[in-house]
Amino acid sequence: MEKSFSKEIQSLKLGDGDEFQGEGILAITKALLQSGVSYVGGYQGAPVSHLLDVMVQATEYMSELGIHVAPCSNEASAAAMLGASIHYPVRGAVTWKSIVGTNVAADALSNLSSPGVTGGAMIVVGEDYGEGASVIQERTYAFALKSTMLLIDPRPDLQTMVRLVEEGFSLSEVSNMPVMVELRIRTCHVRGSFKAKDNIAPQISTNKLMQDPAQFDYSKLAHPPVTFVHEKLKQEQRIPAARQYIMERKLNEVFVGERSNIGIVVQGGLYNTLVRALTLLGLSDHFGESEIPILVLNVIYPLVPDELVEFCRGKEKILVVEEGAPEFIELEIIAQLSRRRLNTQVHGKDLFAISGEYKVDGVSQGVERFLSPPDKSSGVETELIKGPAGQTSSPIQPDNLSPLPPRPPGFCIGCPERPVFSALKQNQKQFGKVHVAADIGCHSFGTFDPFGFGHSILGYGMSLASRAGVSPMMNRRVLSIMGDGGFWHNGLLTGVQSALFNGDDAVLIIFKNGYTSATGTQEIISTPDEEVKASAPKKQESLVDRNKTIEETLRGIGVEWIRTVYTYDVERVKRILDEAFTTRFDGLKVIVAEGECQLERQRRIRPWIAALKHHGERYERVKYGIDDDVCSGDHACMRISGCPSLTLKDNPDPLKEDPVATISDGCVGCGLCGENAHSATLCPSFYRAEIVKNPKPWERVVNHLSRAVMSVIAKN
Amino acid sequence: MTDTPIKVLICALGGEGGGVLAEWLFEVATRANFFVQSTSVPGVAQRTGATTYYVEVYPVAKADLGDRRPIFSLNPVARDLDFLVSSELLETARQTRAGMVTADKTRVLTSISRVYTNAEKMNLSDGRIDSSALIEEISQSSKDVISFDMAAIAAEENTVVSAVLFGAIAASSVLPIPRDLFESVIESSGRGVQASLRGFDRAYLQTLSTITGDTGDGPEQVSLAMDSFTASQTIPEIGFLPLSVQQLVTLGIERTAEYQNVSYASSYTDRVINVAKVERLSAGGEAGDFGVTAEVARYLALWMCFDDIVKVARLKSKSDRINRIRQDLKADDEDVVHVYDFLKPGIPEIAGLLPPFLAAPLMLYHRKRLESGKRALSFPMKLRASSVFGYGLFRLLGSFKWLRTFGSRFQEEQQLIEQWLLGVTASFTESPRVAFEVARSGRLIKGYGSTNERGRDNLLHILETVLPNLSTTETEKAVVIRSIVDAAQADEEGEKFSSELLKRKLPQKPIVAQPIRWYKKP
Repeated sequence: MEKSFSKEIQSLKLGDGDEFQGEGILAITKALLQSGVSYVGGYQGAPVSHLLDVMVQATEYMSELGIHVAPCSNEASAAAMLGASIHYPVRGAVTWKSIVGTNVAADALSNLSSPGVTGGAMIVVGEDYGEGASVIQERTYAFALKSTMLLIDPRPDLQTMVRLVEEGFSLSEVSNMPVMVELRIRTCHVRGSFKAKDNIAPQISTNKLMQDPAQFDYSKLAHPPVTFVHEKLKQEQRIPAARQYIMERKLNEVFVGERSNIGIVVQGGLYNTLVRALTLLGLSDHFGESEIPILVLNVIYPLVPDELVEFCRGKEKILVVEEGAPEFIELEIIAQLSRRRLNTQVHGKDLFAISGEYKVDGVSQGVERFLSPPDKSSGVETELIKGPAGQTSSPIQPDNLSPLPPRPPGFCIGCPERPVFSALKQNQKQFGKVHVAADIGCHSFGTFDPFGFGHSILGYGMSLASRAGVSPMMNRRVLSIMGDGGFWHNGLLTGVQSALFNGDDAVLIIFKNGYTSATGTQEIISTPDEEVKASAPKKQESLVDRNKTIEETLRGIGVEWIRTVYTYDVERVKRILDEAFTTRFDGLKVIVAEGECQLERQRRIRPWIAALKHHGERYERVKYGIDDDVCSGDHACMRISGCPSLTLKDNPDPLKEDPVATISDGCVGCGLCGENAHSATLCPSFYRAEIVKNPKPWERVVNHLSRAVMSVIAKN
Repeated sequence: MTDTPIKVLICALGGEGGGVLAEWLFEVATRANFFVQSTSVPGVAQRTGATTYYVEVYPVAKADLGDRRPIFSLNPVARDLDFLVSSELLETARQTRAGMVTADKTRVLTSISRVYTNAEKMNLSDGRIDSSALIEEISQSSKDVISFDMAAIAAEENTVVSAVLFGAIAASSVLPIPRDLFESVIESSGRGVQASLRGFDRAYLQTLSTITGDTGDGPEQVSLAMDSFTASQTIPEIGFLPLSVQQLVTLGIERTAEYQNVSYASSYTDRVINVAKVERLSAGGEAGDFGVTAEVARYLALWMCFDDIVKVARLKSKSDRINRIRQDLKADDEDVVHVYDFLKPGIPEIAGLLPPFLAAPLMLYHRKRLESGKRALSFPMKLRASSVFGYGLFRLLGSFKWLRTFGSRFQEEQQLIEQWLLGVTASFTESPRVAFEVARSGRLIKGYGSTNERGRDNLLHILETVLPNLSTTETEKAVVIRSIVDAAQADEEGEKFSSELLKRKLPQKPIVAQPIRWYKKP
């Protein structure tokens, strides 16, 4: 795993009255422990990875409490885990990135929500929406709505977030509904503090096992005819029970204000944004003392009609601050007020941007429009207000300035996936273009400069499946690219099995780097064992070849054409790609492109080198370099690499104007520059330097001798 | 006493330690007994992409607030930022343009160092954004700017840039927190404390002196080797040229002499003087600035010293090379350093050194091979330059200078050079501006192998086809030539070049068969 949580694990152990300091997502983790969860599962992904990561690293403490922690193979598997809470009074929580993870989990979630739960079942979703998001822009709300799950969107204050998690479990138990807690990106990463409580060791746990299975109860199955009963129960019992609890426990908060004839209803997650907007308009102080009354919906599904009516009574108009489209909350409020025959006008999407993340600027404009409505005759009210086009708010782009180049994420220094894209780019020059079905994972950086490969991305592990309609229609073979993460997440079934079953002529590259690297190098079933890592004599070497689970699985399922290639051998990668595209073999061809994630290798190398250094033992460091005076300044090397350590500097030759290539100190000596120099016939400026520290005596002697001879040659 | 939080936005590149800095800021504010909040949106940007961290501090002691807690914003707000902190200049400019920086309010603390984007690096010549323009833009938009090379300090002190930024923030007095509290945060951070403290200290002092204006130095200028040029080095024959042009010519003379011999150098001088004379004549015998001559002096020197096996071998076996590499690696005396060079001479490189009667059949074979879709025959070598054998081989190849003048390549290059020079001198009849652009087109010649071929083909096309077909006014002519030369350097595939020609209604380059073997389903 990329990050070590040793410090954070200590704060998870804090007790009554201690002050917890840290990230939002870790506060949520602590809240789970304070709620007495019995089991925790999930699938990694920003912004919620840390929840599971810290628990996985805290194995010892978790088993002390008796909590079962399972990193699941995908979100569907995590959601299904919540099935434990259907029969048994155990609290459980799972986590993933939404909307994508919720999509994958949807089937299990429907089947969980229908019978309902006995023990509190919580899904902590990272709402990957707005700036910094890496997935399609959709909201989780629709899932809560369609499956009748509770949806909590807490005010981004650590104390409130923790309280809502604790209350959320009770709410789930009172209403028998699973509860989702959605946390926006910045809320997950917000750093703050709260007063901690003691953790609760669960009553049923890995330490206190249940003796007998539950009685057979058909009504707990998501199977007809009881599904029809469930549908009724949801509306007639569960939602009312939830509403009552929300009211009684005041989960939604009302902040009074002197201008009682108007009001604002806001999703909890947007509360701070609203307060800042009001502050800038002079309508609130920095402590949330607002002139306008505010109803903060920490629970956004279900809404509580009595509470809404109570808030709106006597108000001319209210403003609903709700992000995304469609405006579920606003429409529900309109319907509720209308049924209760309240005349309060409801504003929202008519005054705010119709789509996109709500930031302070946009919210304050909406509030201004709310307070001083434009002349009706101007027709502004019916006009759509467009959301921000990009990620930044109110961009200023003066005409006379040249645009700034973008800086999207890219492959790390020494990444084992880069060489494959180098090879692919070189091959396409010689063999023409191919359709590339891309996927989710670090390899999707291959869609950016300097490569620009990928015609479609249909979801995690979907590349091979997404080509099934393309390749039968094309005169050339189609290339699918998948990571080992995507392969295990679902690519094996949706892609490989389907292609085999249908006898498809397809080419698949599986990047076997050993981890789900994009999400923080979490381990998977094909990660090299700890023992292998511990016993490896040379820690810098890639060890992924020591775990053959992928190859064995492929063979077992019936893949006949498999080639394994070490990615840094660019020439061989090119040859194998060539073979896959031209062979007469008419079936699924899989290229396993091996090379361990460089981040993980560096994590292993650093302490190893430090120890060798400390003991005065021999060790080597490799760094590539470029001779300034040989470099042609054409930068062909960069167009097939994109390595951050291969960069530019001013040309030291006063006659030459173009900058020369240079390799920064960040170089980890992966070898790609040398391979590319040969395979793409780059200029002969590249060299590989190996520095031997604490050399053996014989090395010193040979070195001195050869340097002496060379200085003699140099003089002649 | 203030009633508003201090708002700080940090720009960083993924994996660079922006998160650590935000954590330190949170910690130092907490230790100062202030309410504080930090947020970020790292996600996949952690993999080398641009990202930001946002911190708000309420600068009133917690005790004075009773049970009230400030409500902080999770997002930075355009036009409402006190402080922009950035480890990279382009990212500073990005946030400035996003409206985060305002002249009445925002102080900017930025490193002037650049981490180039792929878009800049991929360019065939120089795609870098002009740093001084960025600095200018930022200073105009902000209240004040504290800027220096923070990456350099981090590298010199062997620490991370976050420690340097932390020192600069401490010195900037944006946060009402004493220096020792900042340092205490670093001290309890656990790893690399001493190095971090050194980086912190240097940034602290540098920031103070920048604020008080002690140094007064702008960003360090790139010094060209010719700055040290003195008049005593001048050569009488070129004495009529302005000093700056003399400097270029002198460099050219030295370069060509080293490349081949003194007589080769004097043929360089003759060629330059010939152009200079024409230029003087066209200026009506006036002294002028000899702008065309300067361009010719530069590109002619580079062209005459074209890259071949001998030149590479000589550069690779320069007596100080291994020491230079050792220094670059910061190797100690007792360390052993092995250096391996990656070479891949092909048929054209070998044929270039052979006389035409031997080179012709070799090249014929080479072309036949390519036409049939096979890969070019070449000899990849990984030569250990730090061994007696490798070094000796380089020295041996480097000694074949004499062979060069008999080689087919040498003769071809001389012909092309003459053709270009003729193009330059003939253009004076049009106007000095046209001659200048033709002289400047010499920049297309560079590098080895396919790079060199591409440049040469483009230059030939300009000289042989574009120039005779240009039928516009003189001033426009110069503009057209420049745009075509620039287009020739835009992309490897020549798409920009071709579209530029199309736009100007000029003849295209003849289509050359490119052997692409399309993958086809068997």
